[in-house]
Amino acid sequence: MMENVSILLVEDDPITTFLTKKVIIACKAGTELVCKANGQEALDYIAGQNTGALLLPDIILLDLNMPVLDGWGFLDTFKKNVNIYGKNIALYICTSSTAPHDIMKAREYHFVKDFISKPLNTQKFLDLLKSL
Amino acid sequence: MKNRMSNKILYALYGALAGLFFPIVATVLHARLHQTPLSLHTVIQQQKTEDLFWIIDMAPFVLGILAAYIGRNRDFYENVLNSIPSDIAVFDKNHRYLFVNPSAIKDPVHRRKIIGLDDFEYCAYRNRDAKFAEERRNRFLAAKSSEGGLKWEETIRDADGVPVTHLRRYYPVRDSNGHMMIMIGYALDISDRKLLEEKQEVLIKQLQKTNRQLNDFSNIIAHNLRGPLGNITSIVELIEDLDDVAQQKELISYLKPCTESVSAIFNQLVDSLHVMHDVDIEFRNNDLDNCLKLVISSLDLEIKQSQAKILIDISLAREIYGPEKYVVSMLHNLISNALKYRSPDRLPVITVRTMNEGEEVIVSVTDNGLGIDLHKHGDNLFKIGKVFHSHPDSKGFGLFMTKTQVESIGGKIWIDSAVGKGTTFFIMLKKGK
Repeated sequence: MMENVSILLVEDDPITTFLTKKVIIACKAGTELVCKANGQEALDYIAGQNTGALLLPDIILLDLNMPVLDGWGFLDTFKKNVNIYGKNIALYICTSSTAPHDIMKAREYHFVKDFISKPLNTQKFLDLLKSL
Repeated sequence: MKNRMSNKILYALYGALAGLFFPIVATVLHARLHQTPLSLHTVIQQQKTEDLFWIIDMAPFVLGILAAYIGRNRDFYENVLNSIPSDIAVFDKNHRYLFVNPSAIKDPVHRRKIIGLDDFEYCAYRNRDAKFAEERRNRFLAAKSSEGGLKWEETIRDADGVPVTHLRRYYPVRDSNGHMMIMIGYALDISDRKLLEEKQEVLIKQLQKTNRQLNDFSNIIAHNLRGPLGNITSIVELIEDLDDVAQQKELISYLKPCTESVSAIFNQLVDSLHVMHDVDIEFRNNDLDNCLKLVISSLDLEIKQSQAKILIDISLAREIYGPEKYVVSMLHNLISNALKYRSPDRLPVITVRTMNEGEEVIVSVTDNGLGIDLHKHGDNLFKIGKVFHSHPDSKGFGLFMTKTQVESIGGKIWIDSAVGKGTTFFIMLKKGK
């Protein structure tokens, strides 16, 4: 299992953010967590970190339904830049949506590793780390 | 049976007479063709010399049998055509009537009169609008130039004003060279079927609407309640795993916003259900001026705080027909949104206008605010819980409820927007009565 991974959580709901933090801490995987409240903040953060592969996150947990720039908007911009990041970032969509058309749409982005239904719990998170 | 027998005898007699008169007719024809008077005897003699004597000898019998045969068949086919409960007409190549059955024209006088006439002449005879004849002529010409004829549905009102629908067809009959010899026109009364189809269409639309509502509901439950309910479950699990009371208390404090969120979504759903099925709600003429005064006064604080300018131009239509509370609620939601999503770069200007669209009124609310990217968010705009800009009071209920209200009273709502420039919402509702 990969250790000392850095995670970028893109989530607008503060309670979900709080709970995800709790789950990640409980797993004691030595992970580093950064939280951003919408797609635009996350893109700005990635652009700021893109001075070296080491500064970029290993995992992105992305919500879909967010104000300002939603998950789909984030994915569209991320797709354009994915080749210049110089790092294989594992992107997981973490959403309460289970709509088949959302899952189908997510599959169109080759860098999306999986579709995780909320809430994230320790089991789901450990499985995620194992699959890296 | 007796009739049929007497008809046969009659036709045989006609035939015999025709046979007897054949030599006389031949004499006259010969005289006209050769410009020489001939006696009947000469004609007979000449024909005999031309080995045609047997025709003259046999003519009375042959023609008698032929006439009987043709007469019997003609009777048979006319009986069949006259007994068919469909309108049947046969036209010559110039669109003149050769035959019309009683189903097409009941009155025998009119039925006899129409033979040899075209629709223009018949319309003039019956004092009918020539437009009808023109339309039929166009269809006739279209059928004439087509391969398989022409089929169309036609609804007219009968003498009692009841709509009657016919399925009509013009079918050209052609000779071996492809030239049209006659045109057969027939029509079938499909009024009952049409009525049934219309009822089915209404029923299908109602079922589609109900199905869509059910789908929307299951989506709302799946997407919007799953989030906060999942959070509640997670918090409870975490509390159970903790021994530290202070930490437990902290987690309990997170439960309240979750339950509030579930409660708010649930209440919105109940309200929307109430709106969708409130058949007893009172419809009335609403003075838009009064409704807007009510809305503006309730948003007074937000208007003052944002220094918004509200412009009203409802000179083209001043009244809307619908439930008062919905009309006020719709205007409130749209103006409140315009204030909420104002641009930080300029003072908000909100314009309310009306325009007429037939029996309906379009009310537009235009702002110079943030605008929405319709390409990205167009599909989700009116869905519950969808928020497009960060705002502490944004819950994604307003537009969902406005759309529910508008559609429950047979109206329409749509949007035009440009990011950074502003948004216009349009609502189309019934004009005041």
